[in-house]
Amino acid sequence: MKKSALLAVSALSLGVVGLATFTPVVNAATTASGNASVTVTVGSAIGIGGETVEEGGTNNSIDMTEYNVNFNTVTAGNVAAEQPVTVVTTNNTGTPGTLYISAADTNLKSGGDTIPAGTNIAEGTSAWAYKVDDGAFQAVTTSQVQIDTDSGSGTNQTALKFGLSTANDQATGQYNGSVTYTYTVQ
Amino acid sequence: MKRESTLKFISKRIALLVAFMAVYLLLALGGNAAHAEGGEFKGLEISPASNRIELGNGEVYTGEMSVKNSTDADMNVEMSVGSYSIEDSNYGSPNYDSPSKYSVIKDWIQLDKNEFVLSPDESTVVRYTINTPANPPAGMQFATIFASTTPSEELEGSGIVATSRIGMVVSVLMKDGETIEQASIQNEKIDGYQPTSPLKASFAIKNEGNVGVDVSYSMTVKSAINGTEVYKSNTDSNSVYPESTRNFTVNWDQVGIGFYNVELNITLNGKNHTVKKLVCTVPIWIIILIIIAILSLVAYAVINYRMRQEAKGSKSKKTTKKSSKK
Repeated sequence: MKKSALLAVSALSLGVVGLATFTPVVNAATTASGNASVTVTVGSAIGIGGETVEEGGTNNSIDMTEYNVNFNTVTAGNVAAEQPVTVVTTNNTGTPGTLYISAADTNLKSGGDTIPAGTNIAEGTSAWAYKVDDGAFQAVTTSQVQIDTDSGSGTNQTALKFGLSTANDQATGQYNGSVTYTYTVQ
Repeated sequence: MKRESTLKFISKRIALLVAFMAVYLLLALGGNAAHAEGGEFKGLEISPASNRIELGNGEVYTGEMSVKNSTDADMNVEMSVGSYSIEDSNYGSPNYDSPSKYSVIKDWIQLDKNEFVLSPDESTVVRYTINTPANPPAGMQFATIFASTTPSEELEGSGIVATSRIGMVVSVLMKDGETIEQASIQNEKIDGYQPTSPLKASFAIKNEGNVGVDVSYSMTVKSAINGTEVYKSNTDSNSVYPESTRNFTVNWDQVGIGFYNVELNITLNGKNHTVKKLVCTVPIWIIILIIIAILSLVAYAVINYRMRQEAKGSKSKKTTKKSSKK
């Protein structure tokens, strides 16, 4: 009985190890062969904007006009629905490009009243912030903050979400602010 | 005997079940998640993305940058000249606004257009003139020429207006001044044990000179068992700002379990440097299972040996008893 149990344990261990170890490794390098000789001169170019994206057979367009964030109406002491923004960049230089976010003024303003940039998006707190993918909320700053890098070829999408919450005594008004997305290759 | 064969039967079934579960998990984890496919890009584009030139004292240079609106709507474009400086080696937050020691060139550049409207698919050429002073600082100077656009749609309520800008970095070497080229590769690192993906190799370039230096790098991964190349990264190129240190990391996300010879190839100012390391990616749980398997086999062999010895002993005792009876 002891012998069989030991053999079983040994077989199980080796079986699991074997399966895990000998699973084929994905070879990310692709190869191509051929005799064609083509010389093309393409100038280096970069861009920021939108693109047509196919999702499940449907064409959805990411439009630059959607870079603006509309929180619509938020009552005092509440949290607004998170607003998604997808920033699309293109790059054919072969050098990785970097996308940054910044704001000349980090406050949302309505006349003399403000909602400051801050990470604590919660009921009763006056703050607005952004997050990359589903990361933590970040307060926008006047200096550049890197939010994404690309591979140096093709298009790249950066998914952001903006959040806003208001204090219980937040003055009524339309609060507006601005952000700048900067994309460069260095 | 019957009990032992039942145990063997059960252990075989468990092994099969575990095997199926392992295959299912590996397939599920290794499968590619469905993703959206990219289509046609539509936005604000510039070309070229960068320009590196050499200028003498007092020289005037005129360059061109193409700006294109590839969207389906009219686009208001604003042009501006910014600096480009790296402070405290913080490449995550370059400074485009205030001039520094290596970006005083910002004030030497003039554009022939500052604001214009581009129709859908229209492009225009913006000319920039660099008026080099008679006594410029030695080394390299950096500036960024930006094209930016802001959506014209008004916000319906509280919200944030987004401005998008793309910049062409202009690097100018002042050829009449003293050029100091002094850069070194530092902190090359490939950990020998990397049980979790991605497999990483990293290094830094310390530039102590007054000119930017170019670095290109790639990573090659070969199986340590048969020498087959299983991954080769693209060769990436970057520049390192004067008097700064820039960190670089190369990743391979789809690494499997095993032993690999990893090569990090770095080219700095035309000189090649290679770092090699044997890397084990076998997770700790597999190592533990191998140890358990080996210990079980050893225990099995010992027990088996003892039982055989005991059987032999009792057999010889029986034979002795029989012969003594006779």
